[in-house]
Amino acid sequence: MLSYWRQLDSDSAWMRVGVLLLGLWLLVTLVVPLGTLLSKSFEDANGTWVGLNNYARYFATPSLTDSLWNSVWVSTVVAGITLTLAYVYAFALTRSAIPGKGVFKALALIPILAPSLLPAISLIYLFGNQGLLKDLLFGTSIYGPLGIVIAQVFYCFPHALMILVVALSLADARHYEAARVLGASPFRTFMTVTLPGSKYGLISAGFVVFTLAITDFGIPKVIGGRFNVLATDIFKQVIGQQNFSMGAVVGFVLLLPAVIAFVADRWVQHRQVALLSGRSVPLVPSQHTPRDVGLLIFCALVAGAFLVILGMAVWASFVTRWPYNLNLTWANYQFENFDSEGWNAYFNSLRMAAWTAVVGTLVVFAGAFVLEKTRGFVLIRHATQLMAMLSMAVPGLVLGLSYIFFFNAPGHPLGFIYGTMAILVLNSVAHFYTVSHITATTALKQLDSEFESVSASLKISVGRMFKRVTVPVCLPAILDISIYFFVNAMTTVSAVIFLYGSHTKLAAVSIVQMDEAGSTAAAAAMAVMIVATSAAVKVIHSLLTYQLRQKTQAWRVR
Amino acid sequence: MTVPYLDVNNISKRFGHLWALRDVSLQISPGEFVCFLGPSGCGKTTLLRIIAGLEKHDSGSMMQMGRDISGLPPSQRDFGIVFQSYALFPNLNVRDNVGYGLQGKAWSREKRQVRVDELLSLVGLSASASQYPAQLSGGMQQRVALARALATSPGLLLLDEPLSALDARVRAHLRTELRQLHQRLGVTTIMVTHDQEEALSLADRIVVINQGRIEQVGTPQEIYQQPRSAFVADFVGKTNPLQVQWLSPGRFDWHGIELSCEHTSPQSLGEMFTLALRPEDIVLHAHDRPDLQVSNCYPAQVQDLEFLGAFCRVRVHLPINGQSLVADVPSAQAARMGLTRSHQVFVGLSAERMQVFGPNASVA
Repeated sequence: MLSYWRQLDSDSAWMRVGVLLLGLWLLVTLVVPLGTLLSKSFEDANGTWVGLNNYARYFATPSLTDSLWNSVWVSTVVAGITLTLAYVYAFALTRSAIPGKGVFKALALIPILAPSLLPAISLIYLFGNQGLLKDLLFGTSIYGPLGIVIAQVFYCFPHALMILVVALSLADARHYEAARVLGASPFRTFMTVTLPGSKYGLISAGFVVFTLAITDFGIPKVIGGRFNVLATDIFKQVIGQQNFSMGAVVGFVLLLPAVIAFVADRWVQHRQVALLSGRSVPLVPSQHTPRDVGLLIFCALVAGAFLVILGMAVWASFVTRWPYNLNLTWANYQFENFDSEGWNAYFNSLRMAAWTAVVGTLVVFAGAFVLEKTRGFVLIRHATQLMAMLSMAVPGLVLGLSYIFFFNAPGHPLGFIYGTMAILVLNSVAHFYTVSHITATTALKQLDSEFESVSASLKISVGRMFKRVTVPVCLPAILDISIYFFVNAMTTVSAVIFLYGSHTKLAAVSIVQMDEAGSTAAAAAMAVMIVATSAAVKVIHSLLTYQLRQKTQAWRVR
Repeated sequence: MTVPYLDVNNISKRFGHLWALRDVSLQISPGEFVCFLGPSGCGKTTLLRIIAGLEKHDSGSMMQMGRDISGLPPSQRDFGIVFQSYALFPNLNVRDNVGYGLQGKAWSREKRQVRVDELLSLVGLSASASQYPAQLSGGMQQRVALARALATSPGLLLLDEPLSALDARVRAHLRTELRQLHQRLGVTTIMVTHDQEEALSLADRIVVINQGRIEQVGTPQEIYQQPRSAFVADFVGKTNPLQVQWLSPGRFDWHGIELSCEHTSPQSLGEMFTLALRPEDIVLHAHDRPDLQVSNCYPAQVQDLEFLGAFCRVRVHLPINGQSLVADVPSAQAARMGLTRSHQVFVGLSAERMQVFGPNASVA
């Protein structure tokens, strides 16, 4: 073993140490906690091994299995509606000549900046018992599947849209010219060229939305009423009944559809061959008035609905006493009057998001670098890569629950971080690992693979090259990763709801609690604070990126 | 030969069940310019990367100036390298790219400045010192890469298809410059290429590699005029491979007609051989047989003409045995003869230029 390390030069040795450290990090923050959760689901309340008893009990309890069915059908409906809307919207953005594409795109991405709780709260103000537009529902209650579906479509829309825009913008004009020359009708062209070309994007977006919907906790919690789903069941079992074993079982049941969706998505991506060669001709959408007018109206309606939902929350947060006194006031922002932690929760969220951005970016980028650039060491690298991808399949609630079991176990060497800011940061980094990892890896893959060889021949260490070349060239990607971590850490509720301590309550958690206590207006105000913060950070990020591009445009070839 | 600068002994390398290199041995003298020539996938780049330490060989050893470098990582070997992709750092300007390797205690700011200026003028890029790679043409980028590789004065310069990504005119120009640079600096150089013209014009010695084995090592003249195998004959320059049977010393049967040749070693009757004859060694005569004493002269019909500037490549068909040959005729002569398609001519196959390759020799 020692001789194995001796034949490496110091650079290769350090790179391998880096890979091992990353592997260890992912083991501790992701894999081992999940393993603990699994073993917990086979134990009773006293920690005695009971085999599949818990699972048997789960499937024998109708109230629990009903939730499973509810979760599956609601998520399927959400996926169907979101895909349809997002596909048309993406088509309008990429394949039509409608005006204001930039504005429409920006508006459609609003939901990413908001916690999932926000659309639920807005819907209550719009269609709830004292809702503004309650009569439009003709007596149907918004509390339940209807509210969940509408709010989740809002919440999932931008994720589907981003995937579909990419899929639809990859078009080869030559295929369309060929179809036209061969006399195909627009409908036939759509069915034979456009749809097959974006097939993989559709499948991928479908899985992403389904997973987001089924693992979301905030929306069913706020607007689900008595309609139970898996995510709320976990919460009830663990927080309500302190039944950790059953919580673990439900966690695993929830993990299952997410993992199936994840594996299926991987499989589809593998089958996807590059449809575009370097020689393809980009498609420039032509004007076609009837189609463009139709699409413009559609986009305006969708974007308008988003603005209404966001605007409703903002308005509600300023109203004195809904619906009796509509005078505007700052009173709802006096969080001390509604929640014991008051504004502290917001500042905790800020600190947590900032730490997650810093720690997450460092770990992800350095980790992706050593994984990508280490030579040899194949087995360990593949295992680590797999762990990095696994995080995507783990719902936040499941990860949070497994952290309780892992870090809170008596005598655990890392037990001291339980209830501190550190565990929240670790958990958020692990929860949002995969997308950041893919961003970093993609950026690194674009670097010439011979940079390392050149540096080695010039006796320049890998560390120096990393600092002098890799980081400057990848800076835009690094900024993207940090903003992704920040916004997600700011808005997430599912992963942290089990983990906050008495001094580390977060803004999203206090939204849930204030809503539960009936202070819906204050909950809306806190949601607005989160959106405003995310939006501000996003604007700063855009400015920074723009400046960076200006400064480096001499060498950056686009 | 003096003590070799680089001594490669029985290097083998396998990728899975595929042999990339098999028992490759090679000695390179100090100051030599050596080209590894071969078709893509023959193992030439793998050999270069093994010499650089970027790839690990399975067995064999390498000595550089008497030092065993077989197990050393690239950073502990002494070489500079230039890649086909240039691999210039996009965020550093020309000056910083060239000075990239000039780090550490040995290089003060002034010393570094002087060295970079020297290198830039060496490759003729002094005026572009503050530009970024993306603002330079391909040829200029490759010169930056060359200057960067030479900056630390390595004892060995490795060039991995450095000219392949450039267009024809720039390539020819840079080829001349490379040759002059080598003559001026005298650094031992190994260049990998699949372009035989490049190898012939640049190298002191050419190493022809095919399917992981060295086919022949020799000067460009040796490689071209005395190819040791049918593969080399065909890969370097153009050749007409003729499948023949041995009749008697110096006489072969080529699909029913008799060819004489200076190759006289005794063989058994009917054994199969390959005769290789270069297009320029086939002579076309305009009218009837000018001289009956000339052997290997047969009537033929012009099938196809390809005008290539200085000469015409003419495909002729021999009605006697149904075979075809390719001959290169100087353009002036082609014009004098008034060669056109279906033109009747006589072909003469030069007996002294014919190369004979052993039984079962195949031409790739």
